[in-house]
Amino acid sequence: MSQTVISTSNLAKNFGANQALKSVSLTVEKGTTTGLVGPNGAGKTTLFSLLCGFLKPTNGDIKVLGHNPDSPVIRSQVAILPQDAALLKSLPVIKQLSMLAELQGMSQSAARSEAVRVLKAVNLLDAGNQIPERLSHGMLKRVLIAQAFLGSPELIMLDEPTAGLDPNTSDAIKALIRKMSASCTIIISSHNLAVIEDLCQQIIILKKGELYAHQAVAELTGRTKALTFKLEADPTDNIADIFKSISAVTAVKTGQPGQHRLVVYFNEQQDPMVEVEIIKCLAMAGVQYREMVRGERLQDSVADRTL
Amino acid sequence: MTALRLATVKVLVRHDVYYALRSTRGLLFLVFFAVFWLWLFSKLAGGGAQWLANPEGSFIIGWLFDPQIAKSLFVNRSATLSAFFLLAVSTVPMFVLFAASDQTANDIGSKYLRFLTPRCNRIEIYVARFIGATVLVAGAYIAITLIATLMAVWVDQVSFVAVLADALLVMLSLIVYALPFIALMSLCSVVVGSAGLSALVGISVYVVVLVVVAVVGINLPTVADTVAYLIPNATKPLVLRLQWSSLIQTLMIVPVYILVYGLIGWRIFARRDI
Repeated sequence: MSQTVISTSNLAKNFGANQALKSVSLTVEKGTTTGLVGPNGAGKTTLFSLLCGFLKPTNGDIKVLGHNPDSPVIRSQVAILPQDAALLKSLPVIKQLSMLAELQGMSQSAARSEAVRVLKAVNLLDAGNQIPERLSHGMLKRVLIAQAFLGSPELIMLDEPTAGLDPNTSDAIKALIRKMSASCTIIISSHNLAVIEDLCQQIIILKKGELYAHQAVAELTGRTKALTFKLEADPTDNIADIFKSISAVTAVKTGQPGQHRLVVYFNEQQDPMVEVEIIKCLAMAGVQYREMVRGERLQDSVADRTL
Repeated sequence: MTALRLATVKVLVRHDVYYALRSTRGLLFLVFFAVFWLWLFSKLAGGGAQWLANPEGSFIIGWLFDPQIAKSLFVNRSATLSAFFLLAVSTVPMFVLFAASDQTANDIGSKYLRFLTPRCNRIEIYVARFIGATVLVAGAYIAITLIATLMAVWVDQVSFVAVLADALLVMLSLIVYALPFIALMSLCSVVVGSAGLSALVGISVYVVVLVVVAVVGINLPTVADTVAYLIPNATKPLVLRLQWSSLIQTLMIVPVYILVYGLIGWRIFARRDI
């Protein structure tokens, strides 16, 4: 039976006259990894901060693990990676992680061991004795991720976990998040939709402060109903004509100029071999592509819905 | 949010003091404090305070403060220790408003509190920061009182045992007198996002009320006396008497200041966005 980890009802937050979030009601089920996305100004950070208890709602109600975000009952059961928060300037990072682990109820020696464990997990043990100011942006990000993995939280909320990381480190962090997702519920707020697509089963889309969609990522990208091509050049205006011979093709969409994108929607129940037919048509028309993805890319799907 | 777990408060206080002794603001306070007192001790070491025990010196102290205070401090007491006490009480606002300015202010500005709030309750953070600032301030005053006591023994040629009770009274009086100032800074540091601004707000409030009291006091002394209770130095006349009975009276007033400033600060901190 599914359990609700987060629920909000009619949640609203105003900053002066500006309505950052308007009547958002949603639930997040236990064990899911959920992405929180939306364009700049959509209210993503506001919703994330409300769920974390950093901000107080103007209206509405929030329950995290069945309690208010500020409730003492959920202390140390919720781990958070805040985006803009800075560590203390003049203390080594291993000391700071030990201090935070101690606040989760560990003894000094257990806290030290836990700090070593999470620093190892983000491959940063060698930098443990450095103060934050001497670390690069990427290293600092990894330290902040490490603090979110201290202890055994039930719910982890990560704000832009891979922002500013190089591809290798980003992959390592994604692998770590994937590993953690086996034992807890994770919420990821990010502009990087490739990360969301890669890690999340559910997605929450905000637009202009309102909940626009909350559904499965697979449902949104329609993995069995479309093929997305990255072409060598922008498709011509009449590219849809080359698929006229395939009755199972239901729609053709092209990207913005410069994106070199082509999305072909189809009804596979009508023709199970339709994907092969579409590729054949492209080859016959001399249209070359660099990559093909089954379904619609999340980035395109979200952009179409939020622009 | 309002549950106060003592074990967590203890850990927070330990971390706060540990960080204060390694942070720029903590070290800056200790350096200023040490330099100031080294300079004053160098003046007192030459026996500069002994003339205050003479009738002329007592007259000036009586004129500056109160004849009762002059009598209480400089008759049958080590003049050096009394002079130190007088200077220490007079400079408490300057040092304490600075030393206690960063209880939560910088952590609000840098959003460091976002690492703490998933792990501890806001009330625990608020109380621990007050205690942490108190420990820092008390430690500093205990250290200089010990130095002043040793200096009194050496300069005034009195026995250590004879001056010990007075030294203890001086130490306790300074710490107790400092507590409402620390509580005022608890309030100031929850409304701003930097320690510097917090110190500025605290000092401004203190100076503005002092000026208002002085101006209003010319024509309306009763009103001025009432307004003066807004700022944390209302116990100064009691503290300056340097008597155990006065200290007990002070101990009954100080909690009121701590509660009033503390509760106003807490109400803001509990509701504010971090």
